[in-house]
Amino acid sequence: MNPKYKILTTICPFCKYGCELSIQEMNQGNYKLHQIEYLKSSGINQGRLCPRGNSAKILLSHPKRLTYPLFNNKILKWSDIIQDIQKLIQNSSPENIAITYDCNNTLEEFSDIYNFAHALKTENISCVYFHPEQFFNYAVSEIKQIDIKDLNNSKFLLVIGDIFAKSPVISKHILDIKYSDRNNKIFYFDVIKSKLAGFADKFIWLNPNTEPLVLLALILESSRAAKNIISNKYYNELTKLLPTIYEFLNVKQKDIQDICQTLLNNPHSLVLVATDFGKTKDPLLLSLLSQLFASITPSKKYCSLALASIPLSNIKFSTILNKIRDNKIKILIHFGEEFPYYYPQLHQFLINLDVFIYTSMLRSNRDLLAKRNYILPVTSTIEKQGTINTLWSKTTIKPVIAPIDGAKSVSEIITLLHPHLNRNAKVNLNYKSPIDIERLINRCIEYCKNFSINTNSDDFHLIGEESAYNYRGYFNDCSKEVKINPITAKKINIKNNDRILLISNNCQKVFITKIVNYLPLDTVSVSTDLPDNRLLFPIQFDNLTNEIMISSSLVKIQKEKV
Amino acid sequence: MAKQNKRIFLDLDYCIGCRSCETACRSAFGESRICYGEISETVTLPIACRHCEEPLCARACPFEVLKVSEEGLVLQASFHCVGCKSCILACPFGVLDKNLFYRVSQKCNLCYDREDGPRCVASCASGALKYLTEAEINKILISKRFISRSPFWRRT
Repeated sequence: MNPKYKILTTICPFCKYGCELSIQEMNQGNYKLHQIEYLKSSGINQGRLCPRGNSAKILLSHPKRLTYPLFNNKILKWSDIIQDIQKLIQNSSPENIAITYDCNNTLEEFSDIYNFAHALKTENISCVYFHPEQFFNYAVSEIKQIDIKDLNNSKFLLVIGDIFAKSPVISKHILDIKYSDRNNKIFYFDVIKSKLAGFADKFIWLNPNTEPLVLLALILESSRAAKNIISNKYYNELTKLLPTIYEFLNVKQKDIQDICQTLLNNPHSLVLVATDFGKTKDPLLLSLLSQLFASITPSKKYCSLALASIPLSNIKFSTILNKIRDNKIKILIHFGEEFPYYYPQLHQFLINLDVFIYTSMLRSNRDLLAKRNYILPVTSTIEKQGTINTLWSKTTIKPVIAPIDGAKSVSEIITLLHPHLNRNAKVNLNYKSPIDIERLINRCIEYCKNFSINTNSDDFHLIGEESAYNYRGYFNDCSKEVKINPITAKKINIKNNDRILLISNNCQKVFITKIVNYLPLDTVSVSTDLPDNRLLFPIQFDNLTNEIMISSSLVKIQKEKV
Repeated sequence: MAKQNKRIFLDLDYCIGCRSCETACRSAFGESRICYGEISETVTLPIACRHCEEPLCARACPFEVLKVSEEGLVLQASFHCVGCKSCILACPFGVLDKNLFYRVSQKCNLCYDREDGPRCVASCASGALKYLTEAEINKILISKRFISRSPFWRRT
């Protein structure tokens, strides 16, 4: 090792898997990132990193990194901008102010944000993380989230969604399980025949939006166990729906029964779930039913793979949006990284704001939303200290890189805005929210009854795809690519590299066709790693949780006229 | 100096096509020196430079920019490369990227600046890439044949 450099270790900030990230930096006290180092001795990942982790250097020294505060795209001094914001807050009544937060904050920062809202006497504080993964925070029963030992000891895995694309680092553990014993099995359900299907012992290729149905079939096939959790009245009603469910699933009943028996008769079985942006119609049902099935397996263990760990708020953002629409909220203060640009669906509401103050790591070229827009440069998780929740445990992080000049952490910004903030007040951050099983069953019945697989011949299912490699478009910008099954492409007379127009209820956009074999019939997929394509997916207000739900969509396809 | 006889070995049974190897290389050198191919949509294949004993890329280079070092590595003196692409055409495995980076072809140097071996191997998310001697590679191949775990046998 060159003595000019030293190595410091932190937790990779790009998802909550909790990989250790080692950084080699100049040994001159200036904490400047030189290169990423891969230490075999470090953490659960033993130095291994996914493309997201490998992009740390790109993000930290990104040419668009914001290093000065902006007011309506004009550079201002920190002192001036803080004075401006303080005056605006003082001259406004607490009911007219709302505070929001997204992921990429430490637990201490989440506490500070709640204390700041308390100090401003506003009750309008809400979480703004609308990725379908947010529904993994809703639970029906007390089941255990796994630790790394449980994962390594498991023998039979039920995987729903492409966990290898979501968290590639988990693949080593899973493939070690598979190859350690010939009797160990991986069962995999997904709409996309992803690379994980190549490793699965049994892959079931689902029709779009049928993930909740296959889970319901699994629960009902385990009749004895299911009767313990579902009352007789509902059990009988659901069982009557079973033949219809199998019609939609395109799966043999015997296959489901075999998988069910294998998983329920083994103490080392485990359920792993992941979902992408816009991939499924009802992510809440996907989350709750997978937990319900996990609760009847002998291990009662479950693992949801998500990119973020974020406390739930009592007031949902849908309530705040309604207040913004009714001109009851005039000032929105947001603490996090890049909201609202990741959810362009919300712009129609946010243009009603008078003042929009938000923190961001990168400069954006997009239009300003409110009349007065204040953008404050914020530090990355690698540049700050505190505690974060990973998938496996609560971990303390230290700053391994000196913060970029001009950027401040969320806590520092809150201190500037409110110098006498009482940080001693205890804040209960809530990461799980229970849902009544009866309401869940009613929703299942409704879902089954309203489900229809046959779309009009003009309509195609649009689903979202995400992968660590496409993260922020650093390595592969597939925002202009639409993928389509060859049979469907032939049906509508489309060839590779043809330019086509996708028309959803929200918007329309031109894409370049790529024909792939891994999608089901009458389904097209677009990459949702970048915000550009996210606008194709509609927002709904979920009636059970009151959360904003962004689900898969139906689109029409038109060949672009030259 | 002892001859460097370790090479990058790909265990296809573990490769999940996440392209971590490619991004690790790109993060360190600005452009990836490991090539990524797909056998089918579910089977992927990163291809790294084999550092051949008699490298055709070095033979094809008109300016002798590519040379076999004392340690047995095929190294490139980037400063002298004129970007003629002869090495790219000559490589029988198609490892060298046809796109030039700053008008220079990209050639793997097995990260000789790093004591623990190449970055792509260290970063491999699924543990598919290994840095092994020829004897170690043969040992793996023989054991694999006995348990019939060839990628084409395993993957459907």
